[in-house]
Amino acid sequence: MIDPALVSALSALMFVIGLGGAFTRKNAIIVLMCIELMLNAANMQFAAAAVHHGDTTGWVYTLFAIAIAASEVAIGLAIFLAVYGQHETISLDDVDVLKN
Amino acid sequence: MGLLALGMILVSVLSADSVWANSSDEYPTTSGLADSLLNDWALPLLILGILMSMAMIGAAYLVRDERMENLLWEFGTGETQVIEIEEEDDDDDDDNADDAVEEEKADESADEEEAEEVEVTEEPEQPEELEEADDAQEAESVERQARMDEELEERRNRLESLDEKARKKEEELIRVAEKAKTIDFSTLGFASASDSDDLQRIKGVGPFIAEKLNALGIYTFSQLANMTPEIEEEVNVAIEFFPGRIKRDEWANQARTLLGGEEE
Repeated sequence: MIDPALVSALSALMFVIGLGGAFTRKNAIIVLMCIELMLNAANMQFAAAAVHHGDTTGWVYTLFAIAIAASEVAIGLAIFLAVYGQHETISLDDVDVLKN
Repeated sequence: MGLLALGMILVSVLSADSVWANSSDEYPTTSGLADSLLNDWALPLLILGILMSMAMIGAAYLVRDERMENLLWEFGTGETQVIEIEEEDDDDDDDNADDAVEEEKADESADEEEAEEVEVTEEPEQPEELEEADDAQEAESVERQARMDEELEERRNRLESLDEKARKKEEELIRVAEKAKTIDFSTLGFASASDSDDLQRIKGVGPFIAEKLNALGIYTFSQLANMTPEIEEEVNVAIEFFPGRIKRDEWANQARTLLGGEEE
C-alpha cells in the first residue's frame, strides 16, 4: 500500500491550491472549481484512511461528500446562470451586492 | 506565504504517526461498503437523496428561461401565436413564415396608429405663436424618421453577411429598432450616436441592453432621465427586458445622478 504520508502530502497540496484559488480568483466558476478541489482533497484523505484502517466508514463519508458537492455545484451553477442573466457577467467583483 | 505555511502544517499533522498507527491488514471490500451504506447509514442516505433531488429541482427552477415570451406563455395571456413565431424552430419555419409576416404587419399598423394618436394629442397643446417652430420641428422629426428607417434598412442588409449567432442578435436589434416608433421622443429628446454616453454605467444595463437602447435611439443619460413612468414601461417592452425592471432599477434616477455627477 502507498505510504499514507504521500497521500497526506498530495491532499494537503490540493487543499492549499484550492484555498488559494478560491480566495484570489474572480471568475465565479473557477472559484467553484477550487472549492471542489478542496472537497476532493478531503475525500482522498477519507478514502486513504478507510483503506488504512480497514473500515468502510471513510468510504461512506466520501460518497456523502461527493453527493453533497454535486448538489452544491448544481445550485451554484444555476445561481451563476441567473446572475449572468441579470448582470451579464459572473465576475465576483462586479456582483458584490445582494440587492438586485 | 500563509498558504505555504498552512500546507506545511497540514502535511505535518496529517502524516503524524499517531493518526496512522493502528493499521489493519484487512482490506475493506465493496460488499462491506454496501452493507454499511444500506444498514448503518440507511437514514442519512435517504436524507441525502431527498436533499439532492431538492437541489436539482431548485437548480432547474433557477435556470428557467425568463424571457418575455416564456413568461407570457406561463401566464397564458393568449399570445401563444407570437411565441411560436419567435421560437424560430427550423422544422415549422415554413408554416410560421406567413404568420410572422402577418403579425409584423399588424404590429406596424398598430404602431402607426399609436404614432398618429400621439400627434393628435400633441397638437392642441401647442400655442399658435409657436406654429412656425412647430413646423420646423415636424420637418426635423420627419427627417429623423427617415434616418432611422435608413438605419433599419442598413441593419437588415447587414444581416445576410453575418453568421447565425450574430444574426440572431441583429434580428433582435432590428425588432427593437422597429418599436422606436411607439416611443414618444418629443419628451425624451433626440440624440445620435455621436453624443452618446456610456449607458453601461447605469446599474442593470449590460453591453447588449446598451446596444438595444442605442438601436431604439436612446444614447444619452439625459434621455433616460427624461423618462416618464409611461415611457419607462414602453421602453421596457421595446427592449424586451424583464417586465418592470427599468422602473425597479430606477434607470431615470440613476441617469439623473450620473448627469449631476458629470456637471460637477
